[in-house]
Amino acid sequence: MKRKILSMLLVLCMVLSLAACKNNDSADTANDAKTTDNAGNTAGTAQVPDKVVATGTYDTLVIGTSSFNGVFNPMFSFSAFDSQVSDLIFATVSWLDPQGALIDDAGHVETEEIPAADGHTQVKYTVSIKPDMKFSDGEPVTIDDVLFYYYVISDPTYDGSSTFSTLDIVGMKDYYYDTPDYSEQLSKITKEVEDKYSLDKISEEAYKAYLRDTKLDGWWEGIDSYDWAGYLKEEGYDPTGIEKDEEKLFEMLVDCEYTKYHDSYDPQSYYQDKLEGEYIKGNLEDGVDVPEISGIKRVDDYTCTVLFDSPNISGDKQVAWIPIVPKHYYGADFSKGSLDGIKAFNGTPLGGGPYKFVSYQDNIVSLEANTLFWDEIPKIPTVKFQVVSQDDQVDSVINGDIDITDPSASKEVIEQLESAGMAYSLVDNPGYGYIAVNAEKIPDVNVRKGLMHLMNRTPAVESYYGELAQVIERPMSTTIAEYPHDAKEFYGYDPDKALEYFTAAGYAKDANGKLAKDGEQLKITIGIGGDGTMNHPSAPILTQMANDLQSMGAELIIQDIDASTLFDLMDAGELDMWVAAWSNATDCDLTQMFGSKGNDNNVHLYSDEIDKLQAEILKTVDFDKRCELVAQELDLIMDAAVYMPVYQRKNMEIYNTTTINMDTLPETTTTFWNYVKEINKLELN
Amino acid sequence: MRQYIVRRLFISIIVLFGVSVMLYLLGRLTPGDYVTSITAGNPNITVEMQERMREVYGLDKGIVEGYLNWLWDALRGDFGLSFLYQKPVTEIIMRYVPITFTLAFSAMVFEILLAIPFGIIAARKQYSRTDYFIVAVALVGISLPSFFFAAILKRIFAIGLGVLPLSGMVNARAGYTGWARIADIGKHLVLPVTVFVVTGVGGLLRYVRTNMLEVLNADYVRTARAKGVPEYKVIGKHAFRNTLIPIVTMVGNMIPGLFSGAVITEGIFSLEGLGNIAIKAVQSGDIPYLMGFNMFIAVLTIIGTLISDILYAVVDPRVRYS
Repeated sequence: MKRKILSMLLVLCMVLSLAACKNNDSADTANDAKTTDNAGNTAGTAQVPDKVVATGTYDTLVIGTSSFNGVFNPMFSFSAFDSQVSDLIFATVSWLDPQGALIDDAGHVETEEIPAADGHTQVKYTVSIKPDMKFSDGEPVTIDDVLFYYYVISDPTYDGSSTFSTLDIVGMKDYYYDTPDYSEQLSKITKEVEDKYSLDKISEEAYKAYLRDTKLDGWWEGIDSYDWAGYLKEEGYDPTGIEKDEEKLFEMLVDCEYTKYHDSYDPQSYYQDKLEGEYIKGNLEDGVDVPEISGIKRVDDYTCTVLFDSPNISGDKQVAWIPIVPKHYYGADFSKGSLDGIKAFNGTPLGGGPYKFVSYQDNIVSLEANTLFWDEIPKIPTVKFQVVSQDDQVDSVINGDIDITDPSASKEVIEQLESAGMAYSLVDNPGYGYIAVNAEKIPDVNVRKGLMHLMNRTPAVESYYGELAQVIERPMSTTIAEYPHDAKEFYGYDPDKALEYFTAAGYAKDANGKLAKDGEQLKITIGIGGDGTMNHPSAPILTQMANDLQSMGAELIIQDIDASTLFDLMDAGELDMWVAAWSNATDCDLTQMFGSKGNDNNVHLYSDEIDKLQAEILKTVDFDKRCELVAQELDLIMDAAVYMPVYQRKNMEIYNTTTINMDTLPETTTTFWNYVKEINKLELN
Repeated sequence: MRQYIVRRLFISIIVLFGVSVMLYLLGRLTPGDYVTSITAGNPNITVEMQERMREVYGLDKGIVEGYLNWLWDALRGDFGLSFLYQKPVTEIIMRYVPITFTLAFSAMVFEILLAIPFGIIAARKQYSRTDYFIVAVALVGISLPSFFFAAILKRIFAIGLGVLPLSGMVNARAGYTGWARIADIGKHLVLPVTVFVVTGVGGLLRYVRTNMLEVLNADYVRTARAKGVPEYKVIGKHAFRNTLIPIVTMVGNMIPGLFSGAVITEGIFSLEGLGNIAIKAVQSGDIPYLMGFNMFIAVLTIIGTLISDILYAVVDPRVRYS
């Protein structure tokens, strides 16, 4: 009996395992079948394209990349690796030349300044595409495809990375908020707020409601967050008996702030935002009222115009540096507010670029040459993107598994490549590393300047990167055309000077040898994302800074934390200082980082002078004049001592010389121009 | 028994509910949500756009409301769209299960095939050189960090000798189909499976050895030997079968492991398995995926323990559930 049970049991185990195996098999096949199906669809509707035949021994170019999210849709992808794939599948209207200037690709853009009815200057962009182009499924490309793209990225429910909807395009706000007379309504709200809530007109009730809702504009963080009773006593109030009663104490504070500091708060902006927010919310839920953006007009089958209400230095890039996506494929059932139909095609892209999508499986994306491409047809029949872990990138090229990839540049990698006879190129990364100081946490500019004088950047950057990075002097990527290359060092490393600034700020050594002011030691907390091992180019700067501060009697607390925690603490304003880097810089607009209302103004720099300059820069179309203004702006930012630019590093691209015909690579590779731009000319051996 | 199973199932539902509450809480309380993570580093994103996106992803709602929405949808079988992949969570899991399962299952088979015979040999020759050798090797395997061992294997077999592929699932350039493709996948799995087996076999081997030792000291084995039964029969029939009982119950506990994926090994070998996907989801705050995937693992764990408990009762008459 026992044996029987045991053997039954074993059989059961086997069956279970096999069943699991079988399920797995069928899932695998289903997966395969689906991919083939998609490929079939793509090929099926095409006009029987002739295949491209390999010119040499190799017929497949393998590009090494990092893991995909599978969103191969330029409208919705957030991953740079997904975009790498879509870059080959979609043609663009215009793109950037090796120096980063906008040039024609499959289309053209004309800029024209025109006076509006009320006299202010508007800018009209005329976007045109080449006639007689076709998508890879044989359907013609028309301007409707461009318009379709504009409408998708302007949609109120759009959640991709484009910021097109924030542009000052005529009618954009009406469309986005779905309100026919948005500006009129907005000015009505503004007027109402001015009449009811400006400092001299606001009622006591409304003012106190504002103080309660905003918790004294964020000052009140609970009963234990400050010595409230002491504060109230100083202000002449008597909180005796209610020190522990949160509600009553808060109410007394509200009364105190209303009575004594009426002019120091800004209830007007609060009510403006509140009413605007309520109004906008109310409008999105009652069906589509504004079906079109009035400033975007179709002219003919191959031309459209986009009207900006004010000049914008990157307006031409915003309207023309865009992929051409087929409306007939993605947007057959597109209507305002519903993008799900478009997202359904995220995994099976279709465009008019040099290559077309075949499949995505086993962590490999396969593409084949698009014989309907408008320009010179590619010479390599198949391109595959293979996911390779960062540690294997170089070895995979050397052992012949992949042909092109972009490892992070280091001295070791260069040596390894040179000894293996492989080729590489180095270009500036469109971003830079920096150390930031929160001006709200360290309000005294002298303390900030003192800290700046303790940052010894050159040895740190040289030891980490060697020649693969350079120290920069202003907070802007050197790849931006407006970067002032002649800028001099603003704060040199000089501990004596630093001490002078700390002294000027009122700090002095106390009896215990501590650098203190009003009995409080100078203590700074700085966050850095160094993988827990201080593995970061800026780490030596901090270590030296900590030592210098310690010898002065002050303290630097270094928190080596995970990047997402770092950004969270930074957003919450809990760090005095932090180390980070910017990437993907495309223009000289710094309003988000250093403007008073900027979303990324985490250093809390509020300067009317800088705001004014920024507004002027964005309207200055003349390049030389703009450079001057940018240099001024950057000097002001440096003088505020909130940002210490550290390094501008280089990006690397490596090539397998065995498989690639090196003569067919682009003559110059820059930040804005690489083999992808000339993939149709690239040949394999 | 039936009553026991029903009761266990009922308790399972409560456990799953508790697990889901905790998972959701953890997911939402993790610093940095999805919108922050995808918009980080993009200087043109405005606060308003971020808020609008939070609305689209349902992140503007409070934790309680968000959880109740999730629960309501999940109860109807809808686990939502993964933020990262923009596809239904169930579809993503189904897409990557084959890779993870193939890897974990083949590793498990090899582990069992190695652990049982070597465990028995070590037990039979307790305190001999063979025993010490086997146990030492097993301990070395347990102690080896997988990333380190993987790097050594890669250096020797892929870079040095060039006989095995460095990483990935298939050879992209060759693009094999049919049987050649299966063979190619097999070749690519050799190193990762080796890492799994060498680092994982030790535990099972020591388990077999301990159980075998216990059985070998049992009275019925002595009786069998005294009766003059040949040694191979004593081991093969009397001892081994009884050793299998606890091992069989272990199988239940191994089920969730077959699907949970191995973050480090998958990452090192660029295999897009569930472990790799899960770590990416954690880093970017992809709540729907994390909820769907973790609930999947939770259900498997509960089923696994239930099966092993039931099997235990079936196998061992002394265990009775009432």
